[in-house]
Amino acid sequence: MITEIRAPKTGLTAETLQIVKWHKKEGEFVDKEVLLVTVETEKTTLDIASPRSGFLKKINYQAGESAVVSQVIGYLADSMNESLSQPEKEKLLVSPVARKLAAEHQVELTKIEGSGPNGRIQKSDVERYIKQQAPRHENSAEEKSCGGSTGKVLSDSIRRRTAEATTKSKTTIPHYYLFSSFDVSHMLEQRQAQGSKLKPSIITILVKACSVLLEKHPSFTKAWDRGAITARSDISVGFVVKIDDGIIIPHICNAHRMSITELEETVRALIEKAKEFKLPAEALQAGTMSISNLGMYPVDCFVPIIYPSEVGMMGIGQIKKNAVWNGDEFIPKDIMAIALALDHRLVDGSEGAEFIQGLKDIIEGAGPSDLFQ
Amino acid sequence: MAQMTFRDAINRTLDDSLSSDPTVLLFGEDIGQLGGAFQVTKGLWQKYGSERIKNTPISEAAIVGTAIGSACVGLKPIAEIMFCDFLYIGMDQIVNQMAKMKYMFGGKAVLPIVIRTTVGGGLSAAAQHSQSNEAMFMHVAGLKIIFPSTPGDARGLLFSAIKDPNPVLFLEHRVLYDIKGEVPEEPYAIPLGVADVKRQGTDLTVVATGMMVHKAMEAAHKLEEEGISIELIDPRTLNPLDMETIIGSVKKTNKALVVHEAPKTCGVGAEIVSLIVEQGFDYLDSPVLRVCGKDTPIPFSPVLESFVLPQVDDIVDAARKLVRTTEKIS
Repeated sequence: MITEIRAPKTGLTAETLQIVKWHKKEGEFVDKEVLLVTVETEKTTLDIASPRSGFLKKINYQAGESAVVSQVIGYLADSMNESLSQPEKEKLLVSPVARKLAAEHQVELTKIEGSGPNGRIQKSDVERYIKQQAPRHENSAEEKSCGGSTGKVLSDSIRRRTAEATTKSKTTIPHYYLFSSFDVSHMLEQRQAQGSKLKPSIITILVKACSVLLEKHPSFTKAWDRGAITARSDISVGFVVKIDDGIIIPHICNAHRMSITELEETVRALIEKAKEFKLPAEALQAGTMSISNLGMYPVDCFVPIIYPSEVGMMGIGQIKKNAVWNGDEFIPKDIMAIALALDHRLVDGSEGAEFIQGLKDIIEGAGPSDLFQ
Repeated sequence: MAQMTFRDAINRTLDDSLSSDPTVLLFGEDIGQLGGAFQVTKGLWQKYGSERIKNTPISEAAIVGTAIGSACVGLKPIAEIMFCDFLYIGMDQIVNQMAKMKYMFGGKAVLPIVIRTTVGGGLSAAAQHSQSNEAMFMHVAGLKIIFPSTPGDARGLLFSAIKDPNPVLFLEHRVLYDIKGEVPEEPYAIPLGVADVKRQGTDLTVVATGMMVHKAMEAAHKLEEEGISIELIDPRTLNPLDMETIIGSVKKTNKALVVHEAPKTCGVGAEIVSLIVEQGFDYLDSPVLRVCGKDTPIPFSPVLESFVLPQVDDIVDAARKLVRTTEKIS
């Protein structure tokens, strides 16, 4: 029997991956579950174990070559004499128009049952399948909120990626949380004073503030990588964007070196691209920390979940007018509550608190740096 | 518009051409005083005389040969071959001379010839008077072939055939002579190479020629009651063949059935199916089937003849096989 080894789907956007190394040569025998090939995407390196024991019959993509996801990169065979043309399973009967339609909708033909003569998959079978798939996809969010399980499997979508990332975070990262509230009156005034210039959003201001601050807090520019602490060479701040069926976190590298207008343009472009699933790979890489803003809703504050391998996640609540005692009288101030979740493996409470102090100074205009440059 | 038989539509068009163009003349067996074996030229001899309506000896080679000669000197001959079965006697003249002369003489010999002939069975006329041999001539480069199914199409297409500067074979199905249809009174042209969608449908494209257009239409009515929607296309001219219309329809229905009376093997259907597969492969949802005459001489016995020729139920069965996917395709 011939078994195809296909380039695995590793991430959300990775469409191609590179073969790093074949651990066996053509013609060599490999046992089941023994390391066979190592591949690499923009995000990660992946070891692929042999799905069965057999001979590595043929390598289609050599080390250094790139393969598209789900392309056959090699074959395993019972013996080296076995012909590759030998089909693994019975040939699928598919009418030409059904094949075309399935390709257009990226439907896997093997999942469709053919109703034609000799089980041939026909156009109507593909149409039926597409129709069945569509509502299931839409329902998944509603089904979740009901609590009860329908037994349906989450589709391989943003939802699944969100589920995996948050579960990994909550189960492996020792979170701790710091809460504070900032007087943002000064920040809002400065924002208004931007005049005809592109008015920066709250998220843009915070990305810049965090970026400026991170430069001064080298203890934050670290990552936990499989039991070891590694230092990051750059400063990359992400922000959560809500898209259909989940969230995505585009990152901006070295935002502290951008002007506020430039940064605002970048933020807007990334949001646009995120919604179209067209984010460049570098924007999707985990960064130093991220920010999640729910201030557009009546949410005072919330406890965020750290994006895996980042040091922290800051949650932003709504800005409210609060009466603040200035020593003589109560005066109305715009107050924004924040919560900072941090990975205790990387930073301790005092370091986190110092970060909050620095952020407060910047936001409230007490610090030296001018956010609106 | 007038109600006219297929026969009268052709007669009227011949009459129009004779009166409007003095170079048009008719040759054929018994086409003069007798008006032809099928009465298609009835009254024309009386109107135009023996100079232009010529009875010929029983020699198809001579009839076609004379047509070629007269065309070469500037006339527009319309020759009648009583039965297409007799075309074989004029085969050398048709295939080696008429179809090739323009090419052989570098375009200097122009042959605006129309050969009218009758095709088809159904009249219990036996094996030598019932054939449908259009595929024989479709195989010959240099011949245009017209095969109308309605009086209106016959009139418009014959008009274009006579105007055409190339040799044209004009096929008249013998059973269709008495059918009636709407026909414009004034002369009018239907361009060669333009198929007609005789019926719009969504489930299956049926391409039928000649008499089979009528049988396919009857089948379509029956199938409609079963919820199967047939799109019926009559190519009307076999060369040039309007594949654009056929492929356009297949793109919509994803299924095709070709129906003709001639034997299945190496018939016109074989060519049409090949072209559908070549040009429309990605649009097909099932094999393209043919309903054709059986590969046998046409029997004299009416019972056997109707068995050999495609019937409405044969078309219905094939359509069901294609559209109802659960039935096995044999």
